[in-house]
Amino acid sequence: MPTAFEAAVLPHLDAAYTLARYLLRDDEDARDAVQDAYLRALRYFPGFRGGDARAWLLTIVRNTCRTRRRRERVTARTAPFDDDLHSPIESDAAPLPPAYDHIGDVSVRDAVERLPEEFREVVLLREVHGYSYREIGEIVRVPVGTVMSRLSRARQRLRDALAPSVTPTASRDPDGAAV
Amino acid sequence: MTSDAIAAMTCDQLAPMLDPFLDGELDAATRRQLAEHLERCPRCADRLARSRALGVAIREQCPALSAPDDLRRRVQAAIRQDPSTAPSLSPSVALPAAPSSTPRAALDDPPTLPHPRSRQRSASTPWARRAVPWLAAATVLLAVGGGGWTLGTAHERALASGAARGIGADAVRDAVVASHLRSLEATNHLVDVVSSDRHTVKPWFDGKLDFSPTVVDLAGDGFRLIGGRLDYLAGRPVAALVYGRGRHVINLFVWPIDPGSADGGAHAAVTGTAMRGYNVRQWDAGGMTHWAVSDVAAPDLDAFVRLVRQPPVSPATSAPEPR
Ligand SMILES: [Zn+2]
Repeated sequence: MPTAFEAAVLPHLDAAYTLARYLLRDDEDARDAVQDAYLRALRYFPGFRGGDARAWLLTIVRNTCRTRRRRERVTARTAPFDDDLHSPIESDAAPLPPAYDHIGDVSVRDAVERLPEEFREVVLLREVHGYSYREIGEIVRVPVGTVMSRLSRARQRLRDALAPSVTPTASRDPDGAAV
Repeated sequence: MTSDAIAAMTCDQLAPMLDPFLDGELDAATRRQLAEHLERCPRCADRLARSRALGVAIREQCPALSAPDDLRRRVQAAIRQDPSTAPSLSPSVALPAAPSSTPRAALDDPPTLPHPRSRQRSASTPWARRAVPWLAAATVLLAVGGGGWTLGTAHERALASGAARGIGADAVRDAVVASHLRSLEATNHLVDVVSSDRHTVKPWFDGKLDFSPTVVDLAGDGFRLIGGRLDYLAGRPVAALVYGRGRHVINLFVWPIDPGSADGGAHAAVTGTAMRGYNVRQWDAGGMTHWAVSDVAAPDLDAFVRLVRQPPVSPATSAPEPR
């Protein structure tokens, strides 16, 4: 007889593992993070007020991953993520990372994994988990406008990096940065 | 949005709407008008094709994964080890000393689905009330797009920047003390329900909150119940239970632990500080976070906290229940 916690939260193990795996980019880390997240979830479950248990669990998974990355990062980025620093104009003006020169070799997955964490998570939650902007906002704890903005910028980066391999017509828009 | 809005926009102004169009995030009227534009504009249609191709490629190359069997066994074993008590977290998620939680006024609760432990939440919940204007704001935001992403209201921007900076426990404590002060300044706002009977105060919160706070009777120990108040802290509605000791007032704020706070929340031990002449105590228990604020002497407040944590008349005291 599964407990209420097991019935509500265990079915989402695949989703939890998927998110952790792509966020942490390391299988062992992902497994540890998922286990930690479930133990946290068990502790918080008395405060779970119903609703989407998968989104609730993924919120915890996402934060567990962030905590791990923050701790493990040797050269920690001390400044908090600033959406303004990742504006489309800036990212277009800045030179692309070296690997993006080898367009033929760069897989979409590589490109996704090289996105800043704040961009990567919204792309994953949208494309892989299928959440709406509003739901992503709940999981990531930012207003829906920020979700839209981050998704837009993340996708612009990916399009810039991958245009020839994912587009039938590889021509770059003449007005480039305005897109 | 009027039917002219889309027609009057240039292709560059429409470009930021293409991803939301594919994501199904535009309202029906906007969506229809954009579709009409796309039918007769090869340039925008080409941009849309690029966006769609990217989505396809991401989903192909970053597929949903299946958890390995050994992970499934590990997780099951871990949570079955002792499901009745809070398990100790592994060292790698040991909670930092300074808790932090994010204001979440715009992102209250997960969306509603039936759940064995929960009642279906009514359409008048804060979540439901917020969702609609929020989506409307999103549409407006998109409609004025093209000039860059000037996001939402000033309030929303402030929230976003606050979230980015990681407003922490200090900010919550400030808000708790500020709320305590407000409750004292306006005497008619000290309590919404005046009663020394916890059987009156506790049910008063029903339907006003998405959780049910524990209300204990401590009159026999010198802390009389004055009443309860609905307050708003840390971006969510909270229960404020008001007790009196002599001429002093104690505000006890209770709300569910935020599982999404940056470090995860749960701090079972009582932490104490003083601020602006007020003593503040914080602890987590039973899935709830608690803040007690008062100008009573620290030993008195500590006695109060001990009594709240271990009420003298436990059989009649109901535990907090998620609803
Ligand atoms: Zn066009």
